[in-house]
Amino acid sequence: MASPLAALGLLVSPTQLGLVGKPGQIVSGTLHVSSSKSEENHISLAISDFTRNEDGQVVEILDSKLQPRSCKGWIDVDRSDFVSPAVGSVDVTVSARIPADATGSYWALVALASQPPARDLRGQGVAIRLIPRVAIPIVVTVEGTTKPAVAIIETRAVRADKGVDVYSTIENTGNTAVLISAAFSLERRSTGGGEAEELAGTTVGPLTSLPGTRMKAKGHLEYDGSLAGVQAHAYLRYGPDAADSTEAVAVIEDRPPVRQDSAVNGTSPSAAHPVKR
Amino acid sequence: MTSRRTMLLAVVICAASAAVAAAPGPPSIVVLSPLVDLGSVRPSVDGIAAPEPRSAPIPLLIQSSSPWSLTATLESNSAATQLLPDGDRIEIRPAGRVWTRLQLSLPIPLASGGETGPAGDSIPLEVRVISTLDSPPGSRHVRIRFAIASDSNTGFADVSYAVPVVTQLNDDLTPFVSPRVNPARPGLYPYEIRTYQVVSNVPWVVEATLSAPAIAQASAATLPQNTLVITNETGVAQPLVPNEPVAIASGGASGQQPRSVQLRLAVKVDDAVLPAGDYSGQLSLSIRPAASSGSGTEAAVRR
Repeated sequence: MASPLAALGLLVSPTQLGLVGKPGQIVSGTLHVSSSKSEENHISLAISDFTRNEDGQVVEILDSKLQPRSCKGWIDVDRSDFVSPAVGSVDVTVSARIPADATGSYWALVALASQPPARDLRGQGVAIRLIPRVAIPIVVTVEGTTKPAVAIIETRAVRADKGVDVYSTIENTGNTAVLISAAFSLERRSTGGGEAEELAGTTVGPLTSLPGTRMKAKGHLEYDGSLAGVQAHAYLRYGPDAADSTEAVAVIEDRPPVRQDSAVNGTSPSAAHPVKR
Repeated sequence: MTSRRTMLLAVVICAASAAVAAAPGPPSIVVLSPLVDLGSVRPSVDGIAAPEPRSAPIPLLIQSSSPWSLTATLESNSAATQLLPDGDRIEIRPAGRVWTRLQLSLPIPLASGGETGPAGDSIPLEVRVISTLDSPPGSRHVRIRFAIASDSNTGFADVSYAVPVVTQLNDDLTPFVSPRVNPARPGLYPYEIRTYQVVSNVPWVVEATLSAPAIAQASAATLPQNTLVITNETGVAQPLVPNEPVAIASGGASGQQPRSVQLRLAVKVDDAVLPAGDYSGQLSLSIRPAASSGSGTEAAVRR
């Protein structure tokens, strides 16, 4: 397929790089950088720290001491200044030297920025030039030391336009970065002790969850029937084993969601009850 | 007459020798490696050279006392089989031959031969998976049924693979340069609109982040907070604060058809003092899987 992608810009793949190795090992992965625009790009690389906020957004951390699971100091790249050719691509090898005592997951950010052209902005008044930058999260996981664990802190379900909105606050309580796939559903309890009837369902993710961080996931469930006897379920899967999952149930509220702060703190009377699986 | 008798005798001898050499019983298939794990199969994305699809061998052993024809079919009625997404293509071939796409419930001829002898004939097959962005991420398990002659002579291979999440933003490293701004004249001074392309096999969100305050080149003064804004399509401006991502757009899985996203930056001049100078900063654009199943663009929404 001829793609408009070929007519524009720069491509960096993947948009997040995961490296896995044993304590004491050096592990590496590759970033593919290509100029799909027919011109060279002068690119420089920098490594920094980051975390993810509750919305899953990447937020940089300027002081490494504030990021106890930083692997910024372990990471090396095989080229920090290079020219991305007009045609073809450049592979950048990102390697991490894992300390012998490391456990779980660690992370840092590799940022690619174009070097500012020697262009004069002279003139009257003010001009603001912004240099574009592409930031790629690098997650290093130490094999044999992982303890993945995820908890649902709260789930709320609120009647919305054409259905129900379900919100879950999720905390990574283990030492390992995981990809979370979330499934939300509306289920009507059986009156005769049989299986509950699923009325609507949707999925979200996968979402990257870092140890020690919280994030929010939201699902919109389209359903225009009666909500009598109906509950909202949130189900999270964060690993290949059935045990790598957790679930919560929430009653459906009629009012709009309350402020985020109280939802996270679990002060709502309709906070969900996590279900052990 | 003699020649006719000789011919008949020759036919009888041939038939007898064939009967002696042939394997007894009905034809059979043995799948020597019935479990195949192809690992992670990354969807091909335009603009990035797709890696050569990984293939795996499936050696078969066929024993038959008569000519045989081998077919392969994707199974649809096995517990080990899921319905394949449209974006996944499973291909098979005898080693070194042309790849053929396997079909659900439709036998594909792969090879044929004559009687095999008691040791049987070894048939080296290869299988591979090609995935596109029309495929959602996830693990897949499919079963291939091999058959000769009739359905009663079958063998199976179970193939596993996983399609990873792919989100890709076509970025543009050309610097954003604002128009000249008159600090004494309040208003919005828009940058040139920039269009990006997104492809993804999951719902996505594109965000812009001002990495740090823009700095004046001559005086090292920092650009006052809230001077840079991102405007949405209706003209509503959201301030671009250092290290606080702003969602520009979101959407559902694009499949192979890229989705266009526009970035509308502007310099906002109001009553606050904007010291003269030429400022420079860095702007990150990123894409990630969305944390919401809601679909459609929420342009320039602070999250």
